[in-house]
Amino acid sequence: MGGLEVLTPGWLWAAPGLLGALVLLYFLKLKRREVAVSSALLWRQALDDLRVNSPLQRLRMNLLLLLQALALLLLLLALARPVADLGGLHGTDSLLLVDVSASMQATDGAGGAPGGETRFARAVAEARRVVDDLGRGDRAIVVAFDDQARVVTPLTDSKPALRAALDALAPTDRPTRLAPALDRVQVLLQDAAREPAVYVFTDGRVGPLDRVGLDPRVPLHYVRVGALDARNVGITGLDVRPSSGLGDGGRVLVTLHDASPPGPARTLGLDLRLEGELAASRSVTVTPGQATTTVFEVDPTREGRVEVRLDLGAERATDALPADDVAWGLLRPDEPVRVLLVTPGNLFLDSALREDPLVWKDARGELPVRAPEAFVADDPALLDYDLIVLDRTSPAALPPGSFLFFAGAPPFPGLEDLGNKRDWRVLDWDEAHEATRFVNFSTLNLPVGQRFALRDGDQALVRANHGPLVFTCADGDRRALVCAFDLMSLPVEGAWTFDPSYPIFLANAVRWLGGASRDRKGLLVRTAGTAELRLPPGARRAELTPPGGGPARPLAIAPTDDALRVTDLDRAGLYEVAYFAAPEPGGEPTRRVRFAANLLDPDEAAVAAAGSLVVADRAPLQGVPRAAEQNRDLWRWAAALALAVLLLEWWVYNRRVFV
Amino acid sequence: MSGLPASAGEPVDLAAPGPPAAGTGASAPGSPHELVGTHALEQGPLLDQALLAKIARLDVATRKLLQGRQKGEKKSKKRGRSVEFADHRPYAAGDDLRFLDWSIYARLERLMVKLFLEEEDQHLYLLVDASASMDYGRPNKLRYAQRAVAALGYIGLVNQNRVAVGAFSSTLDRVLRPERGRRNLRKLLRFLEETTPGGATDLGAACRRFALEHPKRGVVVVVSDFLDPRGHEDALRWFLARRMDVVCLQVLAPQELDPPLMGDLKLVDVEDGRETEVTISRPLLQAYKRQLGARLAALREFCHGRGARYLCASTAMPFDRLVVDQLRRLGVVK
Repeated sequence: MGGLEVLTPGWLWAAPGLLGALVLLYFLKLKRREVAVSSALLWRQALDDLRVNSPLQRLRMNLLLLLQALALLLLLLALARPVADLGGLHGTDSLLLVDVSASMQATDGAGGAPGGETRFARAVAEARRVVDDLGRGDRAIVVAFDDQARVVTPLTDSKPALRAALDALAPTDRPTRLAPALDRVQVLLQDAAREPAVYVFTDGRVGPLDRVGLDPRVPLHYVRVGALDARNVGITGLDVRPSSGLGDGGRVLVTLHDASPPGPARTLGLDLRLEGELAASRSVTVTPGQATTTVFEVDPTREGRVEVRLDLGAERATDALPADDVAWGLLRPDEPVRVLLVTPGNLFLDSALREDPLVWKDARGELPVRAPEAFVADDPALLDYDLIVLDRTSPAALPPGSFLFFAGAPPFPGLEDLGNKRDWRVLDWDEAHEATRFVNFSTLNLPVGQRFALRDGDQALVRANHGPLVFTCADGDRRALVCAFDLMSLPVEGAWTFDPSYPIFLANAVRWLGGASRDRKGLLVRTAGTAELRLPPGARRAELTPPGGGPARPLAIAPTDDALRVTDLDRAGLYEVAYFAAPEPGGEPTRRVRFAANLLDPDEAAVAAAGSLVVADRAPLQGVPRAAEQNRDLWRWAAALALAVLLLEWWVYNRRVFV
Repeated sequence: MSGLPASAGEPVDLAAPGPPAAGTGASAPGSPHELVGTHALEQGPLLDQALLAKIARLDVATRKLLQGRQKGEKKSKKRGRSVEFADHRPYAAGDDLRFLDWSIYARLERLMVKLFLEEEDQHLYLLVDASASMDYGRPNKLRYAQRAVAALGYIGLVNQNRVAVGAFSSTLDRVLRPERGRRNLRKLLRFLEETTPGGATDLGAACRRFALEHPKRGVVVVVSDFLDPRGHEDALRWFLARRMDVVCLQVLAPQELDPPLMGDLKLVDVEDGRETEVTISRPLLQAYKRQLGARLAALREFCHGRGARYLCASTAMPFDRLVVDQLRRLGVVK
């Protein structure tokens, strides 16, 4: 503990050689200009005079050499980066956890009024300072965290690598959860053979810490950035509902949260833009500590990109976090589901599907219908349909897509048709499944039904006395909902097809299999969440373009996927997914889908930095604005001293007589 | 005055910047490379009409009554036959009866002889330093010295002084025998023109030989830079011991009074070829000027202490001012 060490000792190895060269140069005769004078007598006497009057004159020659050597050594020492070890990190493994969540974009990084350095920039600067203070042999890891932890560097003693990793960090629009990061740190510490120290550079809005996996004995330091009394109003809720198609307009619901310290209510402006054009604007009164919801009614003819932005006016100067002052959405009517009915003739199916407003019909209002014998699996036109309803048809092969079977069986390997059974009685059904919710199957009276032996992975939705009556099954990119009964053979008396449950079941099946409900859920997500999008039939590849453009990110599509799930949505804004039919890169996309991701997190909107962290099994950690100084860099002093010695040498040189 | 004593009584101020060198060459005046061997570059007449007009009425002055070889125009310590009464003495057998003072005999009845001051011709010895160190500076020191000797010689000749001239370096190189009368001016000028610089300075040897060859007392003007490492005291004593009226005219170039040198140099002595490596800085320049000042002061004190006269002249000083003003103020001419 204590003492001096150098960070780049290689320069000191050059000292002997350079000193030797200096001495060699010193002994080389200076080439002098010859000047003839009438008598050199007086000059010689003047030299003698100076020598007599300056007892140290003899030493001056050597003094110059000594001063030059001293300046050289000091310069080399400066290049070698000497540091005074103040006794902090020494032989330790430091884990630097840098908060990159949305609240770190607040502009009060220095702890004062907003409008200056961001908290994130401050946190990175403080982490760099710890890296600079690392002594020889000290190691460190950089971990970036928001709601998930990401190890940026392995455990290394390379300061350039650590600095580069810190410089490469960028803030996200995600919420903060420190607990998973500390759990991750505990795993990383298993590789740390030496005494560990954990530094958290954050504003303290880190979520619950009542259960963390970090060993309580590991030193934990909370380096706080941001002001304790920061004020902020943010958009914490957004819902975009399209028109129902019955003449009413779309609705945009916006929730504002004023996370400022207690104070009087304020009136702010809230603007709604559709495709960049101001569609509505209104004043909203917000009260500190409370949420306020307001609804915009939108013309039923309008659709497209929705942007909701807070107009803070004079309050802008006090609003610490601009990142949550805007939110995006998409106002889009539900896309029709293209349904092909393959049947020898079924009044119930034909009429029910035709009445469903979501089912696509041609210009004459007719539903696409084919006879079973006209159904050929390798017909490419089948790929245009989102759902194929097969009535009393069991084809030998199926194209990729979604299928609804009535009294038929998909040709999936392992799915065994055990033949017809009589006297079916429904026992129970899955009320939570999208296809069967709000449906009453108790009135389904079945004289005859098919009996199936399900495979692993198949899911029975309606169970009867002889086995599953309605179930889901899949084979690769083929997905089916099988109803083991014939609608046309139901008894007329009290037939289920006349029950309200029947059209509801059919509508549920269309929306679930056709992907409409999936798209609706996926159009508006949170940055920490997952966008789940309907996978168009035949899509083999997808690319994600982030908000504001930038390089597209490929998204993997497995043949078994029934939907595209997009994660790692770090930035808020509008994303675009492009689907391609060919698995190879290139080509024109077959379909483009946009969706919006927003922060919408009241915890992140509350940006006032926490003075202390309460971590399970530890005393409260008081936040400090700076990490304790471990090593003091001395190269500037060495360089300044070298300059001073050079100046002294220059002064002596100008007073000399001989060289 | 620009750093040089206007007369022997003025202090030397070597710290002040010297006058700019009055170079005659095409190159920049004052350049160290152009200061040696400049004698050959200056070819003007030793005496011009304007100067002759100014000095025509001057005469060589002496503080001492000197002994000449012939009856002349200068008062002598000897009692002689001039018209100027000096004293009486008792008559002795053999005295010229024409000098008996009959008025005293009438009053005192004692025979007294009148004594008169003897008037003799005066010797003017001009000794010029022609060593290599004099071939230096702009204007050239030797040329300046030659002009000074020519002017003084002219004054001496026209005033019926016996003028002898010697040129020396390491020894007495050439001598012009004592002559008198204006008719010898041409011989004097030719002697000076034929004097060329060269050799080391040995002031003592030159003075010793000149003094032995010219035993008659008179006015001795030594024109030199007095930069002899052996000093000047022993040399001048050869003249002082013979009770001669000694005048030391020290001629220095402005580039010696305020050297335009700086930096790392190898100084080469033009007389002995010795090299001295120096790094000339401000402190060294100040030390040089201190040494030069001390050397001038030592010569001046030596002269004043022994009744000799001393004048240090920079070659930057206009020559007519030297003769008409400075030498007259010093009492060398009147």
